[in-house]
Amino acid sequence: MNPRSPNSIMRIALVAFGMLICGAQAQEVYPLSAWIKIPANKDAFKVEIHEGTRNGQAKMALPGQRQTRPVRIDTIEKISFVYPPAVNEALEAVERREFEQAGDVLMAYSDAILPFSLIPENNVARIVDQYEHSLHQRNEGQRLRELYTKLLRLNDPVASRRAEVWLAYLDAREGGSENTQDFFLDPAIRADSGEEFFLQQMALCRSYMTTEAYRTAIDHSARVISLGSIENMLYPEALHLSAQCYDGLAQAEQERLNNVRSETVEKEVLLERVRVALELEAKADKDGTPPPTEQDILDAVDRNAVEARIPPVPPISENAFAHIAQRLYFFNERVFPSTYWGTASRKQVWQETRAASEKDLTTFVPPDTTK
Amino acid sequence: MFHSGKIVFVVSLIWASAAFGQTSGTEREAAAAEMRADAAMGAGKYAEAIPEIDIVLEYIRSVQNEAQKRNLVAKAEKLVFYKAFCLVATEQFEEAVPLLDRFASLYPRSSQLKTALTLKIYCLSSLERWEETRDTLGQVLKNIRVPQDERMELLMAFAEVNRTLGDHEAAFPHFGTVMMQARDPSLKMNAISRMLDTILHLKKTELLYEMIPMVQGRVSPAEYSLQFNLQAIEASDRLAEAGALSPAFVLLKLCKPIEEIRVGLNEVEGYLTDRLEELQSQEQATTRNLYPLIAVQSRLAQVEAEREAALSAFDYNEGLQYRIAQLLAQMDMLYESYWAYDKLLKDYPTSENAPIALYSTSSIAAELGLTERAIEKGKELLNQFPEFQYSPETALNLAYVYEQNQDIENMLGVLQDAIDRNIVTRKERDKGHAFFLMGYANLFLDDVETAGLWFDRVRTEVPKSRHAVDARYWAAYSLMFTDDYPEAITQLEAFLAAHPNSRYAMDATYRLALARFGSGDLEGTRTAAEAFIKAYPDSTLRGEAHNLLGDVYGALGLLDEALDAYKLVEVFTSKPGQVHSAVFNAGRILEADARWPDLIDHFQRYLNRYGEDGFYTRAVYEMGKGYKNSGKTDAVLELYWETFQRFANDPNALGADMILKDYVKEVQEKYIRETTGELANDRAIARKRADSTPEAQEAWNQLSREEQTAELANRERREKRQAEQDRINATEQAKQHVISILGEELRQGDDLITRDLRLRYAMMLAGDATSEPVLISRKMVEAGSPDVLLWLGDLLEQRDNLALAALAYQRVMEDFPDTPATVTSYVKLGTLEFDQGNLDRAMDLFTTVYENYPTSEWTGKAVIRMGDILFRQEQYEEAAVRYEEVVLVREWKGPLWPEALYKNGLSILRGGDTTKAFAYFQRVYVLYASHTEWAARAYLESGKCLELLNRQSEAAQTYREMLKNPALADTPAGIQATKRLSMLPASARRPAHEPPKS
Repeated sequence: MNPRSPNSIMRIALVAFGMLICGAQAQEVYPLSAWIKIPANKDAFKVEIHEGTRNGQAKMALPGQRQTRPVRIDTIEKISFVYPPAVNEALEAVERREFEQAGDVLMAYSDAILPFSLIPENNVARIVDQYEHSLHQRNEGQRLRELYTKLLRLNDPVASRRAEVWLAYLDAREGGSENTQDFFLDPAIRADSGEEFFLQQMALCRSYMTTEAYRTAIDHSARVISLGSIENMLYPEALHLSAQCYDGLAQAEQERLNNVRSETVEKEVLLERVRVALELEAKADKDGTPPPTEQDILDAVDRNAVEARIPPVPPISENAFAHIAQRLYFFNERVFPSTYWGTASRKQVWQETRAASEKDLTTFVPPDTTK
Repeated sequence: MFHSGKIVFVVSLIWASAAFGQTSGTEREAAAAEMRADAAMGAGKYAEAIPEIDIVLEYIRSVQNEAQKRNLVAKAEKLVFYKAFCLVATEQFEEAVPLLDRFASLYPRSSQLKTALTLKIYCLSSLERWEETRDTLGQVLKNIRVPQDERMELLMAFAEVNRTLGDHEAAFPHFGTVMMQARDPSLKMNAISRMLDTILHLKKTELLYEMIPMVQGRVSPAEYSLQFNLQAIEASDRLAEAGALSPAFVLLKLCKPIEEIRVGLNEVEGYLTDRLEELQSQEQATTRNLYPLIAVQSRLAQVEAEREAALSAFDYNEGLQYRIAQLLAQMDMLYESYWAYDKLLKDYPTSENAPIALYSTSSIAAELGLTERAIEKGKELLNQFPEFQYSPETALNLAYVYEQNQDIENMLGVLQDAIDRNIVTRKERDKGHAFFLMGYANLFLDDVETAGLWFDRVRTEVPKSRHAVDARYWAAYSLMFTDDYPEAITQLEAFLAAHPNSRYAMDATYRLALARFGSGDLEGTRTAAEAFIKAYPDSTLRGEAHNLLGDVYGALGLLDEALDAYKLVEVFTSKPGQVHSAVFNAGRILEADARWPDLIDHFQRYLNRYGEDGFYTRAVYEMGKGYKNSGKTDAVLELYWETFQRFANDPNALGADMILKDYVKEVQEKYIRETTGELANDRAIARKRADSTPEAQEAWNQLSREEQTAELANRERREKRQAEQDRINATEQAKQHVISILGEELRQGDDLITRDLRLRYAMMLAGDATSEPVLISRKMVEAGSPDVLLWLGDLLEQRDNLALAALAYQRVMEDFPDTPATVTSYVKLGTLEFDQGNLDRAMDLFTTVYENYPTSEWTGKAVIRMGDILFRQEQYEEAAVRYEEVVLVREWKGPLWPEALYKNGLSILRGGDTTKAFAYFQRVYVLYASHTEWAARAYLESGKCLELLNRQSEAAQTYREMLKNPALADTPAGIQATKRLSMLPASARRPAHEPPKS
């Protein structure tokens, strides 16, 4: 079998062309081109896979032949798909962080090759991982749900469990339910396992955010930020959620300060009212006139003057929690600019924050790299 | 850049000598030279091959025949290439470069062009002719089609050359591309390291941010490079020092643990070895893949070196985690910092940084209000690292954490432990602080004696401690807690004499006045309080001092002075509680002195000054007293009704309940008064008219004097009876009158729950049993005022909705802690809990009542219930003590006494002393016969006691005596007594005066 046979190249080109012009629906990725190794053959050989798998079998044909025959997937030792140009381009687009361009192509292709991930040696993961990555970066909940549902149905305990946890997290992202919380509070969640633990923490963070229990919520997102790998897909989301929680605390603090000021004003107005009353009463006693009524006293109190004496509540830009939130938003914007969460954070960054941070970055003394 | 180490070429020249075709003499020489060149290259003797190739090339150049010449073009192309190759292989780079240039210009479409150019790049770089190297690399990358893996190699080289030439800006994006797109992990590893180097060189820290997306969602090349990690950690330290916290954080987060790097480098080595094998196994491996082969081999050497370095390198992971935790704290991200320190402690519990990590986690947790974690980490620090420099501070901090949680027992525990283990006694400062806190904690627990001892220890053992003076003040002040006022006075005076300028001097001066008041020295108090006001005219305690003076003047009978003092309170305090207290105290003086117009004026002024910010409804209620006593009933009713309407829906307007109750009473009384007055008046007029007729006059005159006197007495009796009947009738009508007023108001309600409930409650008070809400909802309970809640609680209990009843009582306790209804709620809730078997909870509630409301009549009930709980727990002696306590308090006389006596008897009986118990039961029905329930029970128990004592006749006699009283006979105890009497032996049942039957 010649890997560079004109037929196979032609077919790949045709597939790619078909995908480009037809919008890459699942049925248009076929035939898939791949090298397979089965126990009966010493060497790998090239095949074309027609249609999706059914009952653990795939219809395959040798290149250039029309007649297909079913092959049981569990009899294949190794499979290496030959990515069509459109898929390669999509992968490159992901590399360039142009996630939107990659989506449809990768979805169709990964759908088609996913069942082959059960073969002991395969190159399915690269496509599926990149597809998943691009979906996360664009926060495409529905497609992620579809992808994880497919992974859940795979007869692969590791992939299924991962998909199960992710699906639960997607539920949490959409508001969650008691079941979601129960799921993540279940001891079955592996606290030492990276992704599962971080999904748990994020789900709990979201759950507490819904009840405005921001401190508890931060306590969970903080674990992702401090312990999680910055390369993790969840990291930008964790930064954004944490920033939102700090924002929540800042708002609550501002509200508290406003309330304190209002209370202070009322207290001062009352003191002023008493002071004015005593003055008017003393004058009335001296003049031998009737004591002032409540209305006389109220009319004599200058509420605006009293209010002016009380310092205003500092603006939210001076709020310590808001500072942390801004730092996190700005950080997310700078570090993850092409992601959904980086973009969401960008909208929250104040102009002053941006200006101040740029200044910080440009005026610092750089380290001596000669050492 | 390039490693020019010895390279073993395995060259296989496909050298078809037959290509020369027919041979002449020169041709034969050329063919022979060609054979020798082939052999030399095959043997790797490239220097020997060069002259042989030259011979062949010379021959080709000499050929004149065009056709033959054309046939030899391909051979010439190959030979030129091979000569250049041999020159490169023998490191004759200067000679190789022009030959390779010539090759490129002569054979621009040659399949060896790419290889030739890469060889040229190799030569140029070996000659350190960097600009030409860069140009050639640029030319290759731009114009030549190169497989992806090789392209990455070249791109990396291009970036490296740019960097060598000092053009870091140009180099940076290429390193980035290699890092993202190369398959070869060793290339990625070099690229990430170079990127960092370039960023630091360019001093553009913001470029660090661009590295993150390049590694996101994939295996980071940082896993393969020890150099990168070490460089990143060092750079982050400097960035952090310079205040660039975010970039420093990014760098640290890019770093990988050293174990991962060790594994990663093994993977890289495996990859490179495979790649080398792959390159070498291809046809014409050396000539086709010279450049990749050189690159792979050099990187293999580099990876090997790095792998060895990683194996021998120190484990920086702990330091990495510590730096991240520190950095997060510097960024004010305390939650994040907490978890970073926590991870360090889990991974390296005994490391050098473990103590500071424990200290930090404890402090951060305390700052964030995460008490449990603060305590856990702090205790861990004290247990594991008692000698650590921050351990004393941690112990003291823990004490404050416990204090904030009101957990004084543990506060004492942690301090005592720190003292015992010499943690806080190494430095005078910590020792004084710890001793002072011990005193404070004991004072909090009312253990004044122990508190005093600790305060004394501060003074005597750590006299230079900044807490020594404070301790002396607190020692003196604490004496007031035990009512030891004389000693408190002595010590406060001594304190003031010794420390007149202490921060507690002002407090001490005021407390001195209070201590004198406590000791009953009114004149002394007056002098001290007046002296305080003179000495500290601007003190925040001045208002309180005037309040004290008001009390003192009042007690001395100086009512005007007292009133003046109370009036001054509001001038010198901004604390509303003190003002209101003074106003109502002044009101009480005016009330006691029956100065009703002044009372009205006093509260009117209060209302004018404070409006709804004061205790409006309570003040109105007090004013009402003034109006009532001035005979201004209409005015009081108008005031009450207006005020009620204004505050009817505010459950926190506590006076509204009082006003409403008083209003119902006043309206009824007014109605009765007016109605009976009118009737009496009408009758008097009618009688006068009837008596004034001539017939009546004549009839009267005909009566004797005695008859006239008797008639007058009869008439007076009739009138009195009539008046009584009028009052009874009017009372009934008055009820209906009030109910109709309230009902009318209720009908006009606007769904205001509190107001609606208050009106229904008032209608119930007026006698309308139908005013009860049909359904009592949780919303009603949440809106009720204290009196209404008690009423609702009763109704809910009657309706068996105990949970909601409990909530009603709970609301009073929590939301209205200082009302007369509060103590009632405690007892009612306690009784509910008792009935449901929640004895501990019930005991807590009753104990609260016992401790906080000693004079309330409800406390008597609480004490009986406490006895009941102990009785149920079979602690009969303790139960008896409680019951006994009830009959010692005169204020609790009434139904509580027979109940307490009876239950005391039961406790004694269970304790086994039947005779003594009998005496208690006997006291109940002898002394409290009117309390039928307890009298009946006591009779029955007395009878049982006598039966137990085998005094059957007396028992029968007791039962008979009880059953003679129909009120007792019909009770459950009476029915039981009847039964028991019938079961006694006939001889015993026979009354004493009847002869025994034969």
